[in-house]
Amino acid sequence: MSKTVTLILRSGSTENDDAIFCVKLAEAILNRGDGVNIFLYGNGCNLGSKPVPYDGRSPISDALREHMDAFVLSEQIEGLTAKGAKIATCHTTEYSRGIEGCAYLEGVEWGDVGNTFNRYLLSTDVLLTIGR
Amino acid sequence: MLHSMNVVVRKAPGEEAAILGLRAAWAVLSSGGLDTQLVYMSDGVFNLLGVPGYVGGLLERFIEEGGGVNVLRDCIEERGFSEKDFIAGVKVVDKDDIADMVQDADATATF
Amino acid sequence: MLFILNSLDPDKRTEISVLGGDEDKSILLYGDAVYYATSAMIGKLSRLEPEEIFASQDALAARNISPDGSVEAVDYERMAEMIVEDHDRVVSL
Repeated sequence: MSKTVTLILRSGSTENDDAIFCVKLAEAILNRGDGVNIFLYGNGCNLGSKPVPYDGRSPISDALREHMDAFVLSEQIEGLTAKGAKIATCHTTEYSRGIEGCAYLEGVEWGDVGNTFNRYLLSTDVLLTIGR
Repeated sequence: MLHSMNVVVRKAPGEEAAILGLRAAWAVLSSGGLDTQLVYMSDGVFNLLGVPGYVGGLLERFIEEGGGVNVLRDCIEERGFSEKDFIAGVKVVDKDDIADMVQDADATATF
Repeated sequence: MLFILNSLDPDKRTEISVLGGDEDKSILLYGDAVYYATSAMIGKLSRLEPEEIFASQDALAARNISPDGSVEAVDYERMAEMIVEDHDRVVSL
């Protein structure tokens, strides 16, 4: 019988390995046929926003850009929702970061601790908090 | 499906993790779905000294609504505090009690 | 039970001891925590008397380090299996 894992991600992109770990682990869990919920909490809420490309000249070197690209997880997150993962942000933590009105990645939902997080817990078999 | 949960807070009030843990515990308790225990250890013990504003108010509401608030004795003593320094309703526990709480609950979330 | 560690914060080793009590413990390392998997640092985890120690293959490779012989390097597929199936309690610190 399949199980559901809920991941509370509190770290944002780039600050450490947590977000990459969360996304890759989620994909591996989904590939097994199990379910995944991801609650983007604290700095994790930044990962729900659609990136806004910069049109001007950017002096980032090719080597540095390649290094930084490993931390850009938008495609991977949309890949997770396409595979059936439920991903929601905590809108309060978005509010304090000034991003509550930003567009979401495909499949990511506006959420809250009181309703969304509780709803995730109702179907959870394993709960992990990923952060510092 | 989960029926019970521990929320362990290890960070002092100045770190966002402390309020994120408290908010999560409050949300779960107030939804009525899960038996919820807060466990304060390491620098998390500083949250129990009567923090003013929203944070302190939410912790008091958690206690009033029947949520369990536990603090590890060793962490209090290492920091030179005692039970009388804390807000009302906090239960001082030992390491064995916390290990039992982890085994008794369906999930333990750490902040 | 399985503990997941993501950093070298020494407080987390104490937390494993408190939260785990006398239970059999396995430890999964990722991020900078994989430095514990080296022969130089494995002793710091040995005091917790873990049954098994696992380290993220990706995190080891990203740091160009090799695990001690007592540590099993694992990919995400194996991590998912151990988290979903192998343990009745999983706590990430």
